[in-house]
Parts: sequence; C-alpha cells; structure tokens
Amino acid sequence: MIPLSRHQDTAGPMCRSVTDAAILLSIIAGPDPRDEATLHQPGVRLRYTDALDVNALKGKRLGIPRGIINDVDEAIAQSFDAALRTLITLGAEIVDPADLQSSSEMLKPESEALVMTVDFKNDLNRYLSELVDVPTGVRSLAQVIDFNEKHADLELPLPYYTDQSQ
Amino acid sequence: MKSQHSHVDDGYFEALLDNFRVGRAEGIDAAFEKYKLDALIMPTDLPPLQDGFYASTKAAAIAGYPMLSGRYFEFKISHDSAPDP
Repeated sequence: MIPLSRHQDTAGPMCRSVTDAAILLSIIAGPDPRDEATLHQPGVRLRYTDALDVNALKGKRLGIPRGIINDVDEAIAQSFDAALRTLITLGAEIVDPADLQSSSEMLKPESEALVMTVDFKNDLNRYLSELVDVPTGVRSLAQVIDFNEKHADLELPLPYYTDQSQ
Repeated sequence: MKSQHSHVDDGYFEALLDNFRVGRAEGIDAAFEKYKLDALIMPTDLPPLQDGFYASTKAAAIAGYPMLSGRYFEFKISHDSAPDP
C-alpha cells in the first residue's frame, strides 16, 4: 500500500459487505513495528466479527457536521437523506447539526497541506526503498520526478499535467 | 516537487500540532463530547475549487482518525450476513 501521509492515512479493508469488512479487518488489524500508528492502538486484538449485530444502531447517536460540508450533488444529497431514514428505522438517533467547534479552521487547508507535503516525501521514500523489486529502478520521490520527466510523453500527458510542481 | 523540496522543520511540527488541535481536541473529540455522539456521518461533497480536496474526508484526515465510506443503495441486513456462531 502506497503511503501519502503517516499522520493522515488510515489503512482499512475495501469490501462488498460489512461482514466481509469485519473479517478482513480482524486479519489486517494489529501492531506492526514498521507502522507506528498501529503501535498506539489498544493492546487487545479485536475480533470485529464479534461486533456484527443487526441491532447495533439502536440508541446510537450520529451527528452531521453541517459546517464542514460543502455543496453536495443533488443525487448524493437525496441518497444521503434516504440513508438517514434507514438509519433512523434501524434505531439510530440523528443529531443535526452537530457542528465542530473548529469548522472554519478545518476548511483552511494550510496545516493539513503542509503535513501531507512533508510526509509524502519521507513516507514514499521509505516505501520505495523497501520494495523487493522495482522494474524501473525508481527508489525515491526525486527519482520518480526524474523518471516522469524522462518519460513525459507517457507520464505527463497534456493538457492534464504540464509540470510536477504539486 | 513541492514535496521533494519540503523539510521536517519547526513549521512542520507546528502544523502537526495545529492539525491535532483542529481535528481532535477542538474538532471531533469536542463534538463527540458535546453531543454525546457515537459517530459523525456526512455525504460526499463536491470538491472545492481551491485545492481539489473533498471536505468530507478532511476532518478524519486532519485528526488522523479512521473513516468509513460506502455507497448507499439500501441497507441489506439479513441473517445471511450474520457471522457463524
């Protein structure tokens, strides 16, 4: 899995059902000395399949942080409202709005972007340096940039990519 | 290239602390406490023109907290999906 930011990424399963996600998460969760974030989790390894319960939403409070939600596509908004009705049917309580105190600051990207910018180089460099085999020989972000420049016809197709400044 | 030319410096650590304050202490943690929440939910929004990032993923990213995303058709809950005893 290619990292973007060790402070912002959260690895997890992609599945077709909650049950599949619980099975896979039970297998991939756990401490990994090469993944610092996993060392800060509770020591007990959970079996997420034990938590599968069709009544799990009864009495649960779900908040909608309206203050950080931008414009929403009409079809998605309708789908979201339908999902809310289903959640209510299943016993959940919707708290709307449940705004974050830091809403306005959260929408300003400076700190988030800076951390991601710095983390990306360091985390990608470590990832590339530890790969067993790299057919192109590219082992660092600097070499990725160089590779893209040398193969610009394939890697930097116009008009989408005019440079690699970002 | 912007990333390539970046450094782990005081500004980086300040930004990291700022993210945890905005994302956790004064963000998600505070909202969970204030509204006695079990989770936050939101629709995927349209990306702002400014930086192209979705706001709907921002809160969890800044906090470094996990989030789930799913496509809603209709929640299909049946005993078939329950775990084996």
